[in-house]
Amino acid sequence: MLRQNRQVYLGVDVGSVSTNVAVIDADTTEVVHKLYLRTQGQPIKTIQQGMVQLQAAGEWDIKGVGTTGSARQLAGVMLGSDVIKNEITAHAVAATHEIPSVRTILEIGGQDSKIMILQDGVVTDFAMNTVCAAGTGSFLDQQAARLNIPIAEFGDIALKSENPVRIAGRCTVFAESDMIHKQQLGHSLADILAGLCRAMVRNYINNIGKGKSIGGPVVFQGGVAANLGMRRAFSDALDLEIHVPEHFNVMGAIGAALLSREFIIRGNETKFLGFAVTDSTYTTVGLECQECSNHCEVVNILRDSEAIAVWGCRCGKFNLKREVTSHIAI
Amino acid sequence: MRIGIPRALYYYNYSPFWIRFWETLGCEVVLSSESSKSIMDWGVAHAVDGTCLPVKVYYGHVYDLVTKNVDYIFVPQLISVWKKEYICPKFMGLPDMVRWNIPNAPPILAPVIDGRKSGYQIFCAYIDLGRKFAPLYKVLQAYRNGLQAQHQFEESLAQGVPLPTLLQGEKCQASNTPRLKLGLLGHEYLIYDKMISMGVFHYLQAHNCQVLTSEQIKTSIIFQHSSKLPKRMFWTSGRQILGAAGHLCNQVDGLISLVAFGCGTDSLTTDLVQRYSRRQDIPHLLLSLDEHTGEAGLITRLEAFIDMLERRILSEIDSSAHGE
Repeated sequence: MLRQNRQVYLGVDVGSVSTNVAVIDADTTEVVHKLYLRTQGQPIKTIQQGMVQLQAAGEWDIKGVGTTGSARQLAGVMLGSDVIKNEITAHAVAATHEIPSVRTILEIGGQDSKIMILQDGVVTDFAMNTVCAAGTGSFLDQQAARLNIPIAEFGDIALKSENPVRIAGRCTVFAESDMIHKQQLGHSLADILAGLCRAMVRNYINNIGKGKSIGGPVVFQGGVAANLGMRRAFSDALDLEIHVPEHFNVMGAIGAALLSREFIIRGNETKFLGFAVTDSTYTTVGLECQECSNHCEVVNILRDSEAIAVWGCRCGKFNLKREVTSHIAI
Repeated sequence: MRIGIPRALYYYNYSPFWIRFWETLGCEVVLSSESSKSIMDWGVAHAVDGTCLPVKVYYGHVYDLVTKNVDYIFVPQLISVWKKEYICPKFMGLPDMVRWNIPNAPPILAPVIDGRKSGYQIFCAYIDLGRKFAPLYKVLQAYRNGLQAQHQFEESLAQGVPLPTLLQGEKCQASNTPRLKLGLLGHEYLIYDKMISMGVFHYLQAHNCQVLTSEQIKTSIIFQHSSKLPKRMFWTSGRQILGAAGHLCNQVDGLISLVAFGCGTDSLTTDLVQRYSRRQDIPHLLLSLDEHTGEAGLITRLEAFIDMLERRILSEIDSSAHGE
């Protein structure tokens, strides 16, 4: 699969739960390599690890880099990325690339869920879950762990259900007590899991999809799209065919790579720093500034003791000046 | 005499009147500091549960004034400022909530502002209040001067001067060649409190967007649109937001609603605003704010919204260039 020095674009999506890397061919935009790593609360380490694995996987001629996800700024300064974009745009770009006529994108990740409504390839409406993380991947993860089944088998078991039970899906805490109740009444595991999938889909459609006109083609992506039970629950509830892209779990990264390709083709130079990121040591220094009553939590990112970025400061006094290259005493 | 005015809630609407009124009476006006983390924390810890964040922050501002050694704190009991309309009931209860929940507070000055029937009651309330501090002729003069300042303020707003520039002398640089025209709907005390709104207004301006807000729209235009409703909107702020939404729908690329979590009037108006925007095919973004709202989530949504609008405009240009 891997040729020598293949010309590629790199996309990195650093989310709260997983860090995804996608490498796409510079000409065909075909996905030539992908990585799916657990972030485990250490984005810097995970990004470095991803780059090590990527380097080991082949010889790449990287033409451009895009980053997305909640740690997109951090990944951006570490890698020297050309495009730093929010995950909504990145996901939409990737899905329209896969199915150009897509009308609805359902995206459920570890901590967030989104819906995007498109018209002629352009997002015309979107919604994200607000403060509450109920009905996202980590909830399924937790429940699978509680029932002592590997998350990978969750969907297959749910598919076997013939008579899914009804579970309250509005709140995770209620869902859990409902599930325990049903389980103690003797309902089968398959029925409970399928009921859980239905509850999550109901919650998603009533909450995130409230008032949105969901039309086909529908693309379902994000880590939770791996779950066959969730796929079936969505197609039952919407009465539409659900497309799951081949690389459903790294769509954000693919979108970021596509965006960087767009950016470079427009005639821009790449700022990619190379695989140097794997040799450098990155540290962060945090402080709570006491100068005013805002008590900003300022974070300073250092590469081998050189400050490369500062954020979290409201007044801007810590903001990095371009010419400053040595230590910043904070 | 030092009179403290909390820099919160209706400060953003009526402070020009209040400040000029007290100054004409010969009092020194002390404003609380701008909202900060410590003001918010204090307010959240002491306020009644179940109130919205701006009311909680108001407590923090009153406390800030307590520490500034003022002689009186001005907390008007706002019931109605417009004929047959009301202000949120929490404003009605403010003086009492403040009196009983904030220890060591100096005396509270709480004139009852109730213009349901006519503006005369409001006039009387201020005259009665002023008579405690100065002779009648002086109070009448203060009231007149206050009104003048208020008219000037509203006039400048209608001409497009941003509210932060008028109230705090802040520079708000609007771009000459904005890439997007956005309507930002919400109570002034949400939009312009940089702590509560996490600087949404300034963020949009810094990202080269022209921001249109409801207080810049003439009252006659607001009424023209709000009167289309089958039933009267009797909350003044709700009427303002709905009228503005109706007016802005035809002229912006997108609408943003900024609401406080748990706000009663907003829960009604936001739904109507959503319907308006859907009818006009204008994208609408709802941002709901609470004390634990993360800045990152807010920025992601704004960023995505701006991206979406830009790509939408670009694709429209594309399709028309291909001779649609």
